[in-house]
Amino acid sequence: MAEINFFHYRKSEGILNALHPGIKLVSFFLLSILTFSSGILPLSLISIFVLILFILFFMKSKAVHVSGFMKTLSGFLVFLLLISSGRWLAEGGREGLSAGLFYSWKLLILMLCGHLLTSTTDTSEIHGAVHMILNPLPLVPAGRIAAMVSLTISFIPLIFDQYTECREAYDSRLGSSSANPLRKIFYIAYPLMLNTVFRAEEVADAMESRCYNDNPTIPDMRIRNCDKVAILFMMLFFPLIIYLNYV
Amino acid sequence: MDNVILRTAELTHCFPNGTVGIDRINLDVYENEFLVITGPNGSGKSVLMKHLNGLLKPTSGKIYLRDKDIFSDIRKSRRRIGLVFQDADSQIVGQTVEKDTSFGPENLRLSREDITRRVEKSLENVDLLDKRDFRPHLLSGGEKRRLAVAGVLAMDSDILIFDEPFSNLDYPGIKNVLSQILSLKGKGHTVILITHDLGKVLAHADRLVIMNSGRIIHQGKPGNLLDRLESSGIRRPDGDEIGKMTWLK
Repeated sequence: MAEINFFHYRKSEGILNALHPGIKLVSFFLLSILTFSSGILPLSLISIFVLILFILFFMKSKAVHVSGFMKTLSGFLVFLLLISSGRWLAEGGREGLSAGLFYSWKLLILMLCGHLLTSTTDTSEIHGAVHMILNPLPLVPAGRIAAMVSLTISFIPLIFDQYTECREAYDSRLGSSSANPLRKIFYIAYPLMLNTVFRAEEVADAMESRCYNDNPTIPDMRIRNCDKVAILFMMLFFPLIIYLNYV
Repeated sequence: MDNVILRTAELTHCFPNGTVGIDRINLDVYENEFLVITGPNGSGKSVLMKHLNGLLKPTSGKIYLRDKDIFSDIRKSRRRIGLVFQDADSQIVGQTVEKDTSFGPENLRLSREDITRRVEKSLENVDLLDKRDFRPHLLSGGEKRRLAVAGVLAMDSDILIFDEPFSNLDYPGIKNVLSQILSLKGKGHTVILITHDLGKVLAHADRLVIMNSGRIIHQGKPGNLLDRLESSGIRRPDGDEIGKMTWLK
């Protein structure tokens, strides 16, 4: 299990880790919306922005190696290729292919943003941020929603770990020699689903035995100078993307 | 060892399909006792363990923590009765060693300073303070189990229940976990240990409980029960000297 997976949190001294979780969460939310509603030029700008964030991320994160990251990413690229092919087959022709590739590009950006958020923000910080953002709204169960969001995020790496185990068990019994990809999907998906449910029950028991609570102590979340700079940058960057899209 | 800290009275659990998990269990656990519970697979040990932490509701019977029904204040009871699961991986909920240890105290809504103090003390107790920023899933099997213990200690539990703490551990890992458990007992904690591997731990047990088919069939001093192990479906540890039945030399 020594593999570092996608979406795993890593503690580091990097600037992305130091940013206020609320700012990261709101930025991720806005970036996701803008990514899906953008044309080629704004999307290129967003891509450059995400690339810069990744450079910042790799600069300070000792536990992450670019080669290992690219290897993990290649699995996702196959998935994106499948999506592009599906779109191409559905729409046909050159237009279908470019539409498929464009859609995959957006998905890739979204996925990379998600990775940046989850690998630089601890789930308890995400919990605290969601709680802080939703708490002023009337009739919104902020604690419960925050718990659901943080639990979902903490479960993503667990599913990846389970997938790795199932795939290795399949390959160890020479499953990879089969030429039929559907066979592989079936033989991995079924145990993956069962293991994940079983594991989820165990984790739920473990959490309950440690007095799980929707409203735990929230981490210290003060606005610092780097947060002010980030807010200022977002106030310039997001209107620019909106301008390029709609004006 | 006169003070009963935990007591079960006619504790029974039936599963929805009618299978009886445990049947009229009457068990007293004494303060600062080292109690070992053993039995073949399916004898009800793990079901009993989950009941002691209030994770399962009994079909009938009661569990008392110092004469108070544990369900009268389940959060307080769970704080006092810590549970270390067999699969340490399933107990890991935090993304770093430090965050995982602080999960319990955060749920208790303690102050940030109090949480930091407890986390540091607990990690120091299990020799993991220098690994506080590590990802828990990258720790060795023994370290994961020690992390699970730290998570329980940070909640200030005085009763510690260990479910098969030696499974999937190598020799140094077992010695390490066992010495950690004994050190906790030395600090005044009550230890309930569920295991098949009596040869690794029996020398340290104050009392042995043997379960079969959901019932307690024997309980008493380990030396008095050695000859009843094989007939109860448990392998008798080698030798006759109880004092040598340990993996700590």
